[in-house]
This record gives sequence, C-alpha cells and structure tokens, in this order.
Amino acid sequence: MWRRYGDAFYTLLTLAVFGFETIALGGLSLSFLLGGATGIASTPVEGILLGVVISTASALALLGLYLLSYHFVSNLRDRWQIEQLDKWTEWWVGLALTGPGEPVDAGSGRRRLPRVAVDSVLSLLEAVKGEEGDRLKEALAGHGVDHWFLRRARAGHLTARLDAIEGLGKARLPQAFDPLLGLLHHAKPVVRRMSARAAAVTLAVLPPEPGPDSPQARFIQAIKHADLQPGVVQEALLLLETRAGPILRELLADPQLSDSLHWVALETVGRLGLADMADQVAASSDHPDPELRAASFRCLRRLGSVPETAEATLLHAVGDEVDFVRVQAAHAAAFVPAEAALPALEPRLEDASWWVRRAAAASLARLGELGVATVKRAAESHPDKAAREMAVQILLEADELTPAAARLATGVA
Amino acid sequence: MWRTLLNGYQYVLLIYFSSLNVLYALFSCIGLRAIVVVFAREFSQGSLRDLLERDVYKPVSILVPAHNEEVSIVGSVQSLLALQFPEFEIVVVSDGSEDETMTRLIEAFALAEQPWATRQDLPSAHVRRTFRSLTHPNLIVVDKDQGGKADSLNAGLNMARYPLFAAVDADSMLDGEAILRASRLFVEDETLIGVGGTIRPLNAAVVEEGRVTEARIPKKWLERFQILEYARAFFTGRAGWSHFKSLLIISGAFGLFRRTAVLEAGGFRVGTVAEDMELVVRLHRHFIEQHKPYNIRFTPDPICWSEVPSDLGTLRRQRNRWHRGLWETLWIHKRMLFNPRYGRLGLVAVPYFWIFEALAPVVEISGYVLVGIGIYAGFLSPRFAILFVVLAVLYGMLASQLAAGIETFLSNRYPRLRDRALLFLAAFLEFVGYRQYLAFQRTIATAQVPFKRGQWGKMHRKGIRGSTQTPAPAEEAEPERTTASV
Repeated sequence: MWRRYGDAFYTLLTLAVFGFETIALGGLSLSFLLGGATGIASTPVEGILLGVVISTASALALLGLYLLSYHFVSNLRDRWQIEQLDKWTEWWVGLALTGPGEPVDAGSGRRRLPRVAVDSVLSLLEAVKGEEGDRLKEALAGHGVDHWFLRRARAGHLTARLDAIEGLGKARLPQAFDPLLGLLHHAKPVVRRMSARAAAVTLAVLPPEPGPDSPQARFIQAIKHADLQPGVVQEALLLLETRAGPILRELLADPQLSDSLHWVALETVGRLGLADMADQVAASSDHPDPELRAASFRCLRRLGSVPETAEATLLHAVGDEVDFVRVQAAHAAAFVPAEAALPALEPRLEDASWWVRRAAAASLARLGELGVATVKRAAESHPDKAAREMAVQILLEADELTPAAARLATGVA
Repeated sequence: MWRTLLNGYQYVLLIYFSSLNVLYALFSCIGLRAIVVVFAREFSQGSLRDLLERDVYKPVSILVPAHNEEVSIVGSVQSLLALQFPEFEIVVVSDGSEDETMTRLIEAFALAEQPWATRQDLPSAHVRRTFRSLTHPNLIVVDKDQGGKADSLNAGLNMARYPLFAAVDADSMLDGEAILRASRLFVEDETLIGVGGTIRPLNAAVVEEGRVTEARIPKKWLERFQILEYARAFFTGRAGWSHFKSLLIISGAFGLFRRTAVLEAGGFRVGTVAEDMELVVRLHRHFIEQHKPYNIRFTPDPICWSEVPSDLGTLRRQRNRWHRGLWETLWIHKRMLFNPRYGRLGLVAVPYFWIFEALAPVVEISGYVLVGIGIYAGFLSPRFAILFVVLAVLYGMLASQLAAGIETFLSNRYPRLRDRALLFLAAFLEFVGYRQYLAFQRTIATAQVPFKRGQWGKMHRKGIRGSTQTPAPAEEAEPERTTASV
C-alpha cells in the first residue's frame, strides 16, 4: 500500500520547511504590527515580506525537487527490487532445500545481508515451516539479522522500531520472544499492538514446554498485565493457531480473570471452533455479567454444540431480560434438541426486539422438519404481524418459500 | 475614518492569513507523521492477510443511496460486489428515482421483489418495494419515495443487519481492501464509532473488473485541480484533526460507522445538505454529553475513488452545496462554539471551522477587494500588494505539494514523472482563476444559506464502467453488542 523508504525523511523535510516558514510568518506578522505606526507597506516591512517570499519559494523548490527525485528514483528502485527479490528468493529456496550456498552478492564480501534479501526471506518464512524454515532462521541468525532487528526494536526511531517488530514477527525467531513480551509494556500503543501480534506468531512456532516459566505461561502473564484493547488481545490469541487451545483453557480456568479477558477468551474459542472446550464455555452461561452470558452463547453457537448440562440454562436465557442475551441464546438454541428448543423459541417470534424475532425464527428453521413447520405455520397464521413477517423473511432466505408465495402470504402487491 | 477602518481590516487579514497557514502546517506535519508511522507500518499487507485468514473482522452492511443514478449505479454495485471482504451485504436505496435506476438494477442483478421484515429504528419515507438479487444473495435493493439522501440512509439503516455500516455514494468505487482496512480498526478499538477514508478522484483512472487498476491524471485542468484539493483535504487536514481526536468530517462518499452508535444518536438528519458532517458533529456532541468514551478517526488506507465534477456548472453546484452544508451544520450545533463543555472540539475544532472554513471565502474575496481599493486609494503600494499575493500563492502551492507528495508514497500513485510535474503546475495554475472562482461561489453560498436549506442541485455524471465478479457469500447476521463495557 505504501512505499516505506524516503517517507521518514520526507516527514523531517516537511517539518523543517514548515517550521522555518512558521517562524518566517511569525516574523512577518510581528513586523506588520510593529510597522503599523509608519504604515503597513513601509519599506522595512516590505523588505521582510520580500525575504519571506524568497524563503517560501526556496522551500517550495526544495520540496518539489525532492518529490520529483523521489518519484524518479522510486520508479527505478521498484523495478530493481522486483529483480532482486526474485534472485534472493531463488537463493533462499535453494538454501532451505539443500543447505547453504554462495550468497547472491557474495562478491561484495559483506556479512550483513541487504534489505531486499531480508525481505525476501521474511516473506518465505511465512510459508516455509519445519526443517526448511529452521534452516532459513539459522541463516538469518548467522548473518546477525536477529540482533539487528532486536537492536532496532528496542532503541530505534519509531518507524525503524515498527519495521523491526514486523520483521521479528515474520521471522518468528525464538530469541525474539522475550524481548517482544517486554515491548508489550511500551508507552506507545502502536508498539504494544504490533509486539503482541509478533509475540503471538513467535509463540505459535515454539515447542510446547510445561511449567510456570514456560513461554506459554510468560505470554499469559504478559497479556494479562499489558494495556491492550480486547480486540488486539483477540487478534493475538487467534494468531497462536494450534497453541491457542491450552492458553485459552488456562485463561478460562482462572477465577481471577478480568471480565475483559474473559470475554476475549470466549470470543476466541468460538472463532477458532475449539469444540472440545464447550463445557468450559458453557460454565459462563449463567455469569452475572450479561455481556459474558451473551458471549458464552455466541461461542456455543459458533462451536455448533451445546453441552447437555447447559441446555436448561440456555433455554431459560432465551427469555432473559436483556435483549442481546436473548438474541445469542436464541441463536444457540438451534443446537439443542428440537423437542426442548421449540417451546422456548416459538414464543420469541413475537418478541419486542426485531433481532430476537429474527434469531428465534432462524433457529426454528434449523431445527429440522418440526422447526420449519412451526415457522411456516407462523408465516401463515400467527396473530402477530411482526412474527408473520419475520417467519416469511426467514423462509425466503432458507429457500422454503418463493418470492411470489411470500408476496401472496404478506399481501404485498 | 474609512481609511482607518480599512487599515485595521488589513491587519485582521494578515493575522488571519498567518494563523491559517501556521495551523495548516501543524496539521500537515502531524497528519503526515501518523500516515508514515502508523498506517504504512502497522497495517501492512501481511497483517491484513492474517486478519482475513483468522476471521478477525466485523461484518459490514454497505448502504448505497441512489437518486437518478442510472449512469453509474450498475458499475458502482458491481465494484462493491467485488470487494475483498468475507461477510458483507449491500443495501441500495433508490430514493424516488425517476430515471432508469431501478430498471437497470433489476436487469443487471436479476432482482426479485419480495416482502421484507424491516426494523423501524429510524423514520423514513414510505418504502414501496424491496428486492433481493437472485444472482447475488448479499444484494438488497429498496425502492422508496423520495426523501433525500439522509432519509435513504436511514431507510438503509433499518434494513442493515450487521454491526458496522458503510455509507457509500453511488458514483464511487472502493478499493478492494477498503472495508477490511477500515473495519479492522473497530476490532482493535471498542470505543471507535466512526472511520473516514481517503477519497481520490476517479476521473481518467483505469477500471477493470470493478477495480481501479491504475490512477491517471485527467486531461481537464478542472479535474486536475480537484486532485490537489482532495489530497490537501484528506492526506493532511483530516489526518491532523484525527490525531487531535477532533475530526468533524467523514466524507459522505465513504465512511464506516458502528450502527448502534448512529442509531443512539438518532440516525442521519433529514433536511440538511451535509448529512455526513452533521452526523459526525452530532456523534461527537452526543457522546460527550452522555459522558461515554468514544473515538472517531480518519485513516488514509481505505481508498474510495469518486467521480469529481468535470464541468464548471456541476462543480459550482457541488461547492455551493458543500459550503451551505458546512454553515447548516455549524449553525445547528452553534452551542458547541467556544463551549468548554465540549473540550478541544468546542474550543479549537468548531471555532476553526467557523473562522477558517465557513468564513474563509468571505475573507478571501474581501482581501482581493481590499487590495484593489488599497492600490487605487494609494495606501498600498502595488509592489507590496504583488509581493503579498505571490506569498499567498507560494503558500498555497507549498500546501498542495506537501499533500500531493504524500500520494507519491502510495503504491497506486500517479505513475509517470510527467504526472508529478503536471500536479506541480496545477498547484500554480489553480491560483489563476480557479481558486478565486470557487471562493466567489462559496461566498454566494454563504449568502444563500438562509434561503436554500436542504436544496441539493442537479449533478452531471459520466458514470462508472466495470464488470461483475463473484461476491462473497452473505452469512448469518451478527447483532452488535449493545454496550462496550468489556
């Protein structure tokens, strides 16, 4: 989306130009005010004005020159980069498959890899795993790229730091895990967010270890104490891939867990479809916080299974006093046996909330023949107009009704 | 006496000019830094792919109000259907169209009329018919009595099922990743209620399969000037205001909002020509008055391509409407002006819009008149006047170059070196008549505010060309949580 070179310099240049121009304008304004006694267009004021005009013209020329040069150079560089990326990718693939060979720029005698070489291996590392991936990581470490990234992630300018954190995330280097956890407490939110993602993808490839000092335990402690938005924590947990399950289990088993993290854990279990955690999820279905009750039902719905032990609570929640809890409970009720769910869902067709009516009708339509028959009956003869309309709507969406039949049923011309 | 008054007014103008340029410089630098640091690095392609692969997104309802849009509606909907986003619905609302808008939609997307169980969260004009596409199940079309753009958006909101909604103009085209880039911000920030993206002129761009594949500089200078105007407005101005949490405008051409927040604030206001700005100001006001945490942001990444006027008449009507809309909004929310209750909005942002946006054309025109009078009356030397005008032009060019310069860092920039040179030239030429013409039109608009409330004026469109692609499937609706307590 954005070219990432020359932009920081452009920012500095702009800052310098406008900083200077601001001073010049300030001086000009002051001279206007002071020159009031002798007339605004007095000779000294005019001289200052001329100076400001010349400085502004110079600034404009400088900025224009930079932009034209940047445009020209970046066009060339884009083309060169594509060629170099191809060459380096070929070389890295060879290294991953058969072991080290001569680097592309071996002739230069440099130990440090050029940036384009690092970019190409980082892209490869997102796809290459296992032994081949380890070989690439060893090569990266051999060239000191890990130290270079870590140094920049800790001490560099913000743009350099963010580039380094992104690089560490792509490289998934075990030695970067703890430094990344340390950055979760950085003062700048953007650094915390990017570090959380990078730490998560790194943990995803670390071998599992037991014990309170394991990387997994350290990660849990770090996200519990870092100032991160729930959405960011959720992203990080989703990036854990197969390592997410044990961490989510540990989080949900913690009675001291904050409501925020509790909600995130429930959402993540649902999104990852960890069906074996349905019992742990169901334990939150009678939580005093309605947000957590709703999250628990939403999760069960995503898992597509409701433990028998939670059925009664869920069906009771279909009539919860909080509407968004009713919505989620009604959706999840589609995964309860039809005989038990029908009596709870049918009255909700005339719920005051449009969302509850929709969820109830949709779940009924998923309950098999019995449920569909109930919706069809509601579409034809339910005394409540809103219930009839919703039943027709759901039947249309489920292809149980044609638009023509629907028009007939609702009296639409 | 009159001479003293004119002299005094000169000082007002000079201080005004200096303050405006200093403030503009400040916003530009801050906005540029935000773009370079955050958006170029944090929201990389790789992190976006991670989001998609791991289902981290909130589904979106895209609302497309359309009134007599027969020329562009099919191309626009095709482009929306081709968006790279896993879960979205498109709700086109034909606002009493008298042309072939509905017929073209019915034919292009195999629309079948069907009844619809809608919520009545917001009042709107009578809905005549609702349609669903037989070929694109996530496309819904509403045919309603004419009630204006805001009324259409309210009708669309009543149909919308998803927690986020995007308001998109029918003559606009979104970048493939625009919705994904904007919606991810809502995942990360629970308090976020609105996000505005960047609008770039669509004129002359190469469009393939409903996507802009190459930006090109249009042939007409009128359109080229608008490239600079849009770059100035979006890449610097809005980025800067957003940094100060004081963004007052999210363009009606493309904005993404949390549905519950907009409903809570009462939806779009009918009877104003600036329903986009009015909504954003009202959202600020509502959440401040309710003491609720909230955030409204600009992000340069989601790019929306919009057709800009290519003839002077349409441009005049558009700018007249925009300026009246600005005044209408500021007047509706005049309580916020210099009101410390609204924090930096009341003390900085709203006063800025009164002084440096709404009054700007009047000050500019009066400045031109004053220079003439000053030279004629002999209290301003022609040499001094010329120097001052040159300085104003140079400052304008500097601001344009800075903004257009940010565009150079985009991968989909104007590709040729010649384009960059043309933009440089355009930054100079816009001061030779174009800027003065618009200032004059906006001055007229200022005078018309009390008499032309809510009047839009006719727009002439060339239209968007494209072709259909397979859309993402519409999945189960996901109602938004009603509070942001966790």
